[in-house]
Amino acid sequence: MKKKLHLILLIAGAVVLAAGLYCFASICGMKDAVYAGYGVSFSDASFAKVFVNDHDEEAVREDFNAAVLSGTGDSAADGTEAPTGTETPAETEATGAETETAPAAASAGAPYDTVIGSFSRVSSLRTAWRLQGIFLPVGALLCLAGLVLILRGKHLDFASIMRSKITWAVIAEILILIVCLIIRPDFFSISYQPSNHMLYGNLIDIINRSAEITIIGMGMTMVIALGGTDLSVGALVAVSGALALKLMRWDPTNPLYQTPGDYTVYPFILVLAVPLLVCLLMGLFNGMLIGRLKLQPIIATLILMVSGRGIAQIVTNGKQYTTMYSPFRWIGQGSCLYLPTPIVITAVIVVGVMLFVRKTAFGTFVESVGINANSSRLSGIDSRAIILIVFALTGLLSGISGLIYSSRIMSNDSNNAGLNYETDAILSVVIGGTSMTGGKFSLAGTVIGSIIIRTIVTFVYFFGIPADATMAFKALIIAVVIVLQAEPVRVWMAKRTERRALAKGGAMK
Amino acid sequence: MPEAVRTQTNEPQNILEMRGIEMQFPGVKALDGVDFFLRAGEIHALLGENGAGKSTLIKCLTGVNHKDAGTILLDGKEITPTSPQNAITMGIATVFQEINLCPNLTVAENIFVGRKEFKRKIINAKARELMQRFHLDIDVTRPLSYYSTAVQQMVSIARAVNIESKILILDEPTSSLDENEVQLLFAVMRELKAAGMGIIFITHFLDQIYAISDRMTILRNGRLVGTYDIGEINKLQLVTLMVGKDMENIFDLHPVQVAEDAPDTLKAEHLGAPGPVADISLEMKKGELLGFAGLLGSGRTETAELIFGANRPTSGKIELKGKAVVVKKPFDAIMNGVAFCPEDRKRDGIVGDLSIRENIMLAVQAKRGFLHPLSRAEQNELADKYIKALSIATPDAEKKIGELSGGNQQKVILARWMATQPDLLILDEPTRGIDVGAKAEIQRLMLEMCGDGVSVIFISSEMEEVIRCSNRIVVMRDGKKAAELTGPFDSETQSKILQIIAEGGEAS
Repeated sequence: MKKKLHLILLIAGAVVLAAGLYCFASICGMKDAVYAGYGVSFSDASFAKVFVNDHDEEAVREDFNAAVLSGTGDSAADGTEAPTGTETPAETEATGAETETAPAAASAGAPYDTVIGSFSRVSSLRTAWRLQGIFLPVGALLCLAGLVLILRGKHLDFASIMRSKITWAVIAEILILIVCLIIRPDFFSISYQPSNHMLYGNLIDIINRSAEITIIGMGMTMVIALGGTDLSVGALVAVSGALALKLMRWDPTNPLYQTPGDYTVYPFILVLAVPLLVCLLMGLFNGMLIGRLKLQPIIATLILMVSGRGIAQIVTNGKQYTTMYSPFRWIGQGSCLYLPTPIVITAVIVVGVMLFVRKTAFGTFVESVGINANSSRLSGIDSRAIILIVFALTGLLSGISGLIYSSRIMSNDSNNAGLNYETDAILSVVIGGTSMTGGKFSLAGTVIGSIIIRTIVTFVYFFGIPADATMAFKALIIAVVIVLQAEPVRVWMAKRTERRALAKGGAMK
Repeated sequence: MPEAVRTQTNEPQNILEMRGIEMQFPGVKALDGVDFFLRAGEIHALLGENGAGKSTLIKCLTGVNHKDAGTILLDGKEITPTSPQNAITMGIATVFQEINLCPNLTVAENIFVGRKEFKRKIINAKARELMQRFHLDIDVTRPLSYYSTAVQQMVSIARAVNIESKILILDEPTSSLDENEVQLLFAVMRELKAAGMGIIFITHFLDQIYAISDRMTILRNGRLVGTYDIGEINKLQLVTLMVGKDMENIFDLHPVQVAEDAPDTLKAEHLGAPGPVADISLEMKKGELLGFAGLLGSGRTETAELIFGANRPTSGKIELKGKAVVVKKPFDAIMNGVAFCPEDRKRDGIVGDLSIRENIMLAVQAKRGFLHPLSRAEQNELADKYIKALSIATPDAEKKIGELSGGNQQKVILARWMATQPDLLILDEPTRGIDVGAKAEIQRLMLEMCGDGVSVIFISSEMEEVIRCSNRIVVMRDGKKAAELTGPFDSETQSKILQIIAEGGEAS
């Protein structure tokens, strides 16, 4: 019976996902029809503005007609984009029929009725737009839950699920998203932006922007599992960015010692490898101080936290370099597999670290050292090596995070790059259910924690809360999340569930 | 604070009545209809093996756990303690096995922390007075960590007693005390008893029960076996009642025969480290069980730690299986087939938050290195094998080791080392703080391993155990080997060892 429940979850998820995809496809088809019919193209923002937001139909009609007749469509950036036909059967056929009559209709002065009115009404488009925003994430979530349960083969134990901190993190995240959804019904909607080959939407943006913290969080989780903290990660982000930009612009043959910024003298791979190597070494330095000299992690990493930004300033002579080198832009702003590249990089790193930690005995050793260092040593575990690896890894991950950050701004910023990343990373680890006292840790929890933090930031920006108040607002929501996760609250909820299950079981007997 | 009963201590009267207490944990019925009555002015021993339900019963009484059924009457009034703090205000004071005090505060501050008295002069004077009542003439303005465990124990009792309590619960108060200190504690207990306090006394030392208790209540598997006056049953009957089996059979253990021509497993020459170990030379044959006798601090544990590499020897040589080895850290020793069950199980043995499975596989995995992991199936197989072989009482291998009873934790640690298939197993106080049945099981396992060709070093404060199981006994004194006795041993051996320890004379 339990197994069946998993299957039902999976199938329901698939159905919902399919419905979402259908909505998504129909919207794409709709846009293509518009593009194909008039040779003008709309950016997604203006598409949403015209068709999706709360304009009444009359206003939409006027907007559309005005736009088409003026011949500009929308933004110049998208104007050159050649419209590409996608394979959405019903719509493409309709499009084909439409394109033939379109020029005539355009000259008649009523393009809106001809193109839009013939196969879909704006209200139904609006519904499709909003529905896909709900169907896609919900379907994906259900599918994921079903798959995880089936793969794990564990039976559902609601009490233990309620006791888990991760459950509460997920619930908090969903609550915040639901509030967003209520205020903006299309908050979840995702659309495809052909101009830069990637999906676009608030959810995607949240995950994209959380990449830096998630990547650092992978290392920080294990640092905290060992019972320590690493304060230097933010400074390493700055160091990594400074080194990358310095190398990218460095040209010893040029009298200015500097390239104009659209090419590099050194191979690009070196530009990436050197900052990463330096960050790795700085992580090793942390690890040596902690493992060998037995300094307290918070003190040991304070050294680089303070000096790291200074080092970054020295590297760049206090200058702020900018670059236009396009392979570098790809790291933070490009697309890969129709997604923003940082998401893909993060996914690869998260999966890689998870495999390393859980498919070898490394994770167990980290937990063991974090729980009881004495016992671990007497069982033959080399805690110094473990500490060294964990801190070096955290350094390396901070370096990667620094490259993504500097690629986003195409510049280095020794003062602000990675600012407060250490607190955000620690927070996401804690929200993810890993205790600050060390021991058991959860990498998946950290991913969720980091996404929660970014969701809150997005939420705050999104609702136009004044910039001065954002930090206070962020703190408020985080406080609520952490209270939800507090031991007594979870135990109370778990007990409630348990009692209910018992009562049910009793009734069944 | 109501003080109604204090005056009526002459005739036996139940100060506390617990009736039909039931407590359900997930999967286990920890208490099943247990009755317990405590009179004012008596010392009442609460007995049972680990996991019998003693601690759970106490936790129900002190509000740590909440009972599922039953009634608790204090002075004839029903109470439902909600927390230890709440229980204290009702007059139920508890001294736990672990010392729950702040080592960096002074003795006086420790006694008065959480009370309404703040003035340093007053609390110092009061604390001094209180400690004198306990026949301890100590400087109460020194930090607690300055004093020995025994004094700390006394301070925690003083702290509990100072709160005007009717009932005092002592949970294993003597496990870290030496003989004199135990007598001191007993004197205090008698005084408190005379003052009309009801004392619940939990211990594993049967002698102490007969020395001080008035009555005893025995639990087994969460059920009440019975309440007896102290003269009613003898020690043997008591153990039989506790274990549910015959004691004669349990301890029917004999040393394993070692072949004359068996090869050497360990040869240590002139091992020494500054301070604890002066100069130790040992030789052990394959399958031999070598007992270490001696007082705490005589260098028993320290010698074991040198052999295992937990501390680095500054002088001497170690040969394992005829090969000279340099042991710098435990890992080196493990790679050479040495295993070590440390004395302090909680501090150095278990990894509390990890499961039984993970605890068992830890040393094997460390030996292999983390890049060559045991697969989950192999781990499960390993865990199941040892859970069965050592009859570890647990529903499954995924339970946290910290949630097991002391005896079962010890078995898991033993399993951890058995899984590495060692040639030399060092057991430092493996039977401390665990019940009679589990003690016997651990000794039996030890002897079985000897039979399989493992050499075992057995360190224990309980001389009977050492004498019962060992082929040879090394008597330690002041970091030196005072004597070495070769078996078979007889009833005279114990006094001989004591004599050696006391006098320092060379024997046989």
